[in-house]
Amino acid sequence: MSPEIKKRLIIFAITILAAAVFLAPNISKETFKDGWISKPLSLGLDLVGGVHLVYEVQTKEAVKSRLQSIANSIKSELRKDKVAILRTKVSDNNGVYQLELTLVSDRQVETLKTKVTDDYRDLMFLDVKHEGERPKVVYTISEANAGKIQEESVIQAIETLRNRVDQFGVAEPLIQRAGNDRIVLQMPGLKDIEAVKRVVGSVAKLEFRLLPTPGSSVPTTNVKDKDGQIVQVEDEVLMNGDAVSDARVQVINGQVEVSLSLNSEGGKLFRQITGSNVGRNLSIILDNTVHSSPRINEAIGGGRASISGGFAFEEARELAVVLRAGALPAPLKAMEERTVGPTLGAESIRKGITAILIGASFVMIFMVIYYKKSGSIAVVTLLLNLIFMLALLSAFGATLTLPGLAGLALTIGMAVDANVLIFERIREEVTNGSTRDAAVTVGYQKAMVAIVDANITTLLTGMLLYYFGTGPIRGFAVTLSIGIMTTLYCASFVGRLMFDVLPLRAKGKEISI
Amino acid sequence: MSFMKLIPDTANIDFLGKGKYAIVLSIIMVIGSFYIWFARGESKYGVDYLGGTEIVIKLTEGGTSQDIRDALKDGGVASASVQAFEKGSHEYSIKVGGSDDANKKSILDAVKAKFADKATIERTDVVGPTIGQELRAKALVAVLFGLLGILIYVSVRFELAFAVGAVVALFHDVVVATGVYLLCGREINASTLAAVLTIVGYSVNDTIIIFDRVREEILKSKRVDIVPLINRCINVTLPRTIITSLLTFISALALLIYGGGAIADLSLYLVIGILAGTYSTIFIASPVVIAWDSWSRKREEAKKAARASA
Repeated sequence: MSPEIKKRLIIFAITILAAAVFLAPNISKETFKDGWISKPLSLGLDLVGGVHLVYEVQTKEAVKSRLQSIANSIKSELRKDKVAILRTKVSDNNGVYQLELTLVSDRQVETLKTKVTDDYRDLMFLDVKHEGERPKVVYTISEANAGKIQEESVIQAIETLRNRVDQFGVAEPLIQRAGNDRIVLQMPGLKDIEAVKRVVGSVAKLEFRLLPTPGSSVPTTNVKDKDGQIVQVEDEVLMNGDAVSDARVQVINGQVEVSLSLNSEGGKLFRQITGSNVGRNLSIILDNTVHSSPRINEAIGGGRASISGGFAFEEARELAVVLRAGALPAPLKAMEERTVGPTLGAESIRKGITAILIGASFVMIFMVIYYKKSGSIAVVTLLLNLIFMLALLSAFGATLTLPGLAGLALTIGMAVDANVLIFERIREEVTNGSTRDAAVTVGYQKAMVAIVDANITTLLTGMLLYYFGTGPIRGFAVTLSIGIMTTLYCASFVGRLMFDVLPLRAKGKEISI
Repeated sequence: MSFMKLIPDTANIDFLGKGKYAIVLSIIMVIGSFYIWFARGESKYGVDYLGGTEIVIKLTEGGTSQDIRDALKDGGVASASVQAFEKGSHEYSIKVGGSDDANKKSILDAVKAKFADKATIERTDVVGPTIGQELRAKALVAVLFGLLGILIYVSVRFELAFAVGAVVALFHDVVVATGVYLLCGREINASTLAAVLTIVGYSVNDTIIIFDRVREEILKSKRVDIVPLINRCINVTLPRTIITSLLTFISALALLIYGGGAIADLSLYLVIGILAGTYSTIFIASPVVIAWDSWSRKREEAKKAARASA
């Protein structure tokens, strides 16, 4: 054996070894787990079943709610200076945000303007309008600042979703940003999409506000009760979800409650609020719905509060989950939701593999009948091709999807093309009177030009498909592209090596092809 | 020495001579495909590209699509369409426009009311209208980029005439395959994009093999008449064209028959596309190369003549 062939055999052995290493976790998950170079092939949602959701973060709402909270804090600070803001209004006109603050008289405009220039640099003064006697000071926010708030809201939403999704205990949830303001959420193995949507999609904006005392002139705002009736509550938000550090479900006297543990700041605030409003009713409002409005009997210390209000246990549990994970900075809008049942996935795998095996068997039988002993080279390279593909998919941590299985099946058909091209060229050379070795050498040389050109164009379409495709289609693009690479290796290197090592003679002929 | 052969060595079929008929046939097929495309209007799109709600259910104890229609009627969802998802499997697809939660809920409720636990929900898809529109635009861009990329690659590796031939053949394949696919009553979905680009890849692969031979022959003998040369190259590569097409076709057919309902659409498109791709490799790509070549030669001569007379 020539040293050159020896070298090639060693390279071949190394690739086989590498493939075995990458494939190992697929054979025994237990032995080759954490720290191993590759992970077992993960199956796409369409094969294992599960829930797929695409949400759009309503980022404009995030800007508006930020402006509203700025307005609230200006209002409460000015109150200390004995300046009353009668009304605050936030509006959004095609991405131009405006904050209107209505004061009692013109004399207070300067106080407000000074306060804003000193402490709220993000606001830009626009105009003072008049509505009868009352001045309305209008502020806006720069595009750059609004953009920053929007960007932050998406990042924060992803963080919050991650916390909430953890509560489901799904093995490998996928939470991914898609484009500017979209979030893709995948939870393999989960069935109940409605529960996911309730927990993941609710904003969970928690507010504590007082019910107005009859006859008072304190500004109010409309919210709803659980039956959808309108309830008036005071405008001022005394405390919000930021004060909550933990939330648990409790059953007291058969009543289901969500008990809140407040953080130290929240505890102090809650004691102060309850202390100075004894005898009044404090409404606990979640996403603009009043859950309960208990009467305050005394100052409440100890940093605990609870929400009751006729919960079903499951409802209370979900509420506790969202309160623990924190509020979303903006509402989410569901753009796309898909579920795949587990039986459908299992059946797809079984059928897909059957189809691959049937297709591959036909191809192999044909090759052996048509090209005799050389045809067995095609069989070996095809099998190796499948093994290398699976190994590379494992190495890249790729996800095998249903269209990906189709890609595997198709690759078999296309991989055999390389063999056909080479064999036909060798036959031509033999017919033209070349010796066996010369025919093999020249046949390979000539065929490889065409094989490379043809496969590069296919690789090009595979890459486009990856770039423009989503989800399962990407899985298809990955298998197709990997298939092209393994095909090139198997046809040019492995096949050639076999021709050089094996005699492949037939009776009375130099080569069986 | 003799080999097992599908086609005798002496075969010298005048493919280019029959080009006229092929081109007429192709033009008819392309026009027909465009007609089907426009005639089916928005209904050719599935939920992925149209937006809407699709629910696939399986009736474990049998039942017909009429049973489901009745159930939906009782549940007040009259606008839904019901189709057998895969023959003989009691799987049905229920579709309704609009992506409201209410739509999905009323369908699921209606199904549950009638079949209770004799129906399992296999799959639900709800796609908002904006996503559908965006995906459609993206898919179109993907296909156009695919064709453009191939145009550039082939004109760099070969010549512009070949690139034009390859792209015209590809365009033909995609249009005709889509037309036949739609004629079979299937819908355009996300997986159709995968199928389209795969066929683009497959068909150009097939075409390039012949072009590669032509390039080799031209380099071997400087001054030749291009028409018989290309015809000979088509004949020489014919065994390979047929064997590869046959084997790829069988692989795709196995997917279509045994792969199950979930990839039936993808496999059907592949099966049609492989046939179209093989046909266009022989009958479309090469005649276009010859036509483009003679047109550009004439134009050059006309330019020369104009310069000489000036």
